[in-house]
Amino acid sequence: MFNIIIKTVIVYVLIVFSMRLMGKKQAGQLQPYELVITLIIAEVASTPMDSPGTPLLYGLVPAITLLLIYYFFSFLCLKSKHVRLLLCGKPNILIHNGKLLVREIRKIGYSLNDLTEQLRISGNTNIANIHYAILETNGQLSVLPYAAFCPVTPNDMALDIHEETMCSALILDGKFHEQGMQRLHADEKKVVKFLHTMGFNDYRRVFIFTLSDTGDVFIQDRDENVKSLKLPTGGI
Amino acid sequence: MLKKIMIFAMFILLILGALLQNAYLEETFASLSSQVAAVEEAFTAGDHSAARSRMEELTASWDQAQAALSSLLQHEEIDNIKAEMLGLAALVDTDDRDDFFVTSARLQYYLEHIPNTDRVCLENIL
Repeated sequence: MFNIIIKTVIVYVLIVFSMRLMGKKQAGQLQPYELVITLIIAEVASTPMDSPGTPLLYGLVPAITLLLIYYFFSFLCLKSKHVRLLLCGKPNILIHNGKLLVREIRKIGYSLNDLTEQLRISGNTNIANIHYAILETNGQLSVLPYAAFCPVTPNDMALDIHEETMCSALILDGKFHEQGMQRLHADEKKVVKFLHTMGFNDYRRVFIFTLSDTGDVFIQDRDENVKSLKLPTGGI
Repeated sequence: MLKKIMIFAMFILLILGALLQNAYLEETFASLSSQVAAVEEAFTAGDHSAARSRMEELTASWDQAQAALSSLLQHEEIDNIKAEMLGLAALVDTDDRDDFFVTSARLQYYLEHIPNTDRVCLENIL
């Protein structure tokens, strides 16, 4: 039994490592060849997990092979548009100028139920208001309404607005967050001193402490005490 | 860049590993097979003590190779070979001529069959 536990841990770590190497993509953004590899890699890697007499190599080797195939195909897709066309296909325009392109829809076998569902999800239910609806190679439907039916932006209204600034975390779960500290040029002594002035005597009890470029502070400790304010100077 | 190096290293390791495994299996099973043939020869010649000592050498070689083979082969295949070896050893001890040749033929089959399943050929791929 312990052998199965150990094998499971090893296989799990390998799969996580493989997924990390494959990059950051959500399931809905995967191309067909990527989806296939994602599905198969878990299946083959699990072979030694549930079979005590099967060596670990029988799962590791296929998983590594699939990972190498993925990189090979990704490289080919990058370098050759013909290979990309072969492996990923091309996008299909399903709606143009407020009209369904019936021939295109029939050619790819896309059901109208699926189409109307995707339109509802995108918030554009009136086909007449849609300039383009494009079925992407990863299966997602991109809906581009006419400009007149797009949500209003501050630019449209000629509004003068503050630019959104990025909040960086200085403390996460009681520990100093190096990246945030570097980004805001903060040092630990200053942060601790500032927390004291805010009534948080032990930085290790602080659950989250964020600070934006324009001085927006948010502090919450483990007892759910919250302090939120705007610093006049912009920094601590 | 690091990722590319890692991918390339994995590729090289995979190919090298496959080649080394192939070579190891061929060599190990060829050696075991020749040792079984040596036991058969001594047994056929009626030299009981030579047959016993060669059988002991064969068992020792197998025990030495078993640990590495466990990580390369299905355990069922290893268990089959072990069972046949134990049977063969018992038959050498009891000087049972009838069953000896049947068991040794079976053992030779296993020893030849396993490296064959690892060879790159259409039969193994399909």
